[in-house]
Amino acid sequence: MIVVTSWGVAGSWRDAGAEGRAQWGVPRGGAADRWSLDIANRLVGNTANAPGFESSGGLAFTVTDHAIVVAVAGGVATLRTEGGPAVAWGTPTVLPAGCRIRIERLTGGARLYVAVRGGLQPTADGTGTGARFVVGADPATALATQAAVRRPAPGRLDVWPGPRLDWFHPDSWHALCNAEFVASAAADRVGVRLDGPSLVRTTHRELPPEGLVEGAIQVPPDGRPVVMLADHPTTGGYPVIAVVDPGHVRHVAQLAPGASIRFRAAPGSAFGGS
Amino acid sequence: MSAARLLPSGPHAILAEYDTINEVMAVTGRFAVTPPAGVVDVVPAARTVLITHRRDADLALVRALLTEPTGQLPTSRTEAAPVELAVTYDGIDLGAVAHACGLTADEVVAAHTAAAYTVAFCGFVPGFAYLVGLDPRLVLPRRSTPRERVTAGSVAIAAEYSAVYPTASPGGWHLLGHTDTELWRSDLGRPVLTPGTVVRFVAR
Repeated sequence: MIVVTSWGVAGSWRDAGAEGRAQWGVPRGGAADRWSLDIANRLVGNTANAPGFESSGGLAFTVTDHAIVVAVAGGVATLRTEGGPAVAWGTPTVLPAGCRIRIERLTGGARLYVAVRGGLQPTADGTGTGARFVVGADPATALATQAAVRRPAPGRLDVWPGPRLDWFHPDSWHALCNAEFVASAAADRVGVRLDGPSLVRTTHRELPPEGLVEGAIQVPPDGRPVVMLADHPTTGGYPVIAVVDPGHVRHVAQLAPGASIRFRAAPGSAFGGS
Repeated sequence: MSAARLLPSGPHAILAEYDTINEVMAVTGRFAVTPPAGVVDVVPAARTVLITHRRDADLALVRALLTEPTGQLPTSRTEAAPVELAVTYDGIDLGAVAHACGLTADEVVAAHTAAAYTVAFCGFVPGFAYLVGLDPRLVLPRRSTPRERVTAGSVAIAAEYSAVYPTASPGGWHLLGHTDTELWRSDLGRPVLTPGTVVRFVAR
């Protein structure tokens, strides 16, 4: 059993979410950076979508009755432990019963994932401070024998033309693919607002709400693009100029406020160069 | 009808745009009847249907379902009895709606309860269903200033739609009343009102 003593910043219990519910207005949900939850899970021998914790720092918990095996991936932070060994990024670690662990401020990325061998299931008091989680059955698989390697995000994230690209000034695609954008503080699991050159709309008629994909770059009237993440509304009424490649959305989910980002036309897209 | 326009939405999605909501509903119904292999989500909206798919999806069938002419009427795929929602018509905007439509409050209630509605699409928040079938006399633009909080169960209208707010949220629709009916089927993990569901409002 694990008892959460502090949820910190945006701390939550997450699995990989579920697709196929958008027709009911329900987004995928789940880990904003699924790929990192997957890594943490594989390090402890879990399946990719076993539930763990997502944290932007400050999450603290106590291991109660039995030792557990944890691994951390995604964002980078110091993990302080009392009554147990230090936990390094990307390395499965055994924490004995009675051990207390606290995730400090993130120094890299925006979200860190904690996987526990067997996965975590909430008990009846699974929210709020003091929430208790039980550790699931041991998966009877091998632990990772090597630590994970943290790879930097690519210098430029691939984007594909969006459905309303032609609602924008012809230079907008060029601006999107060449300028530097900076992640603003207006960022959560719904999306990340980017500061940079304004993307100028030339079609001004009202857009009835239409379906959005994860990674869609929506442009509200102020011209500052918003990249949609795991909890995005399933429909939106602002034009989508472009879509971040599904393989690169996780890097958007790891943008801390002030981090810079560049895009390029995805190879293979209508505008992708060779 | 004119042809569907297929728009790109990244490497694993197609957004099809139509002229009318009836075409949207007809096309959405086709995907429920004949789901092509590899389709992940079918997301109808006001004038569009978004299809997200796996890399190996049957895209020939997807495109055929999106572009085949639909004829005049939406295909109904629901033979089930309509969902009846008991409504107390005590909404804060009932008087203003009546005034704006040139009706009495009783006439607004009569018009709202007389119609049979169909869920065209969901969006805004999980389980928020856009119902078509509203009496044309009740068509009004959204409020110029949205409310910061509309309570769960509020029965509302805006443009050609009616809806029930499934959870408390901000909202710019005109509030006619409220229902106590649970709008989320926790046993099925889905909302009561899903695309294609027929709905009637009953005054109580």
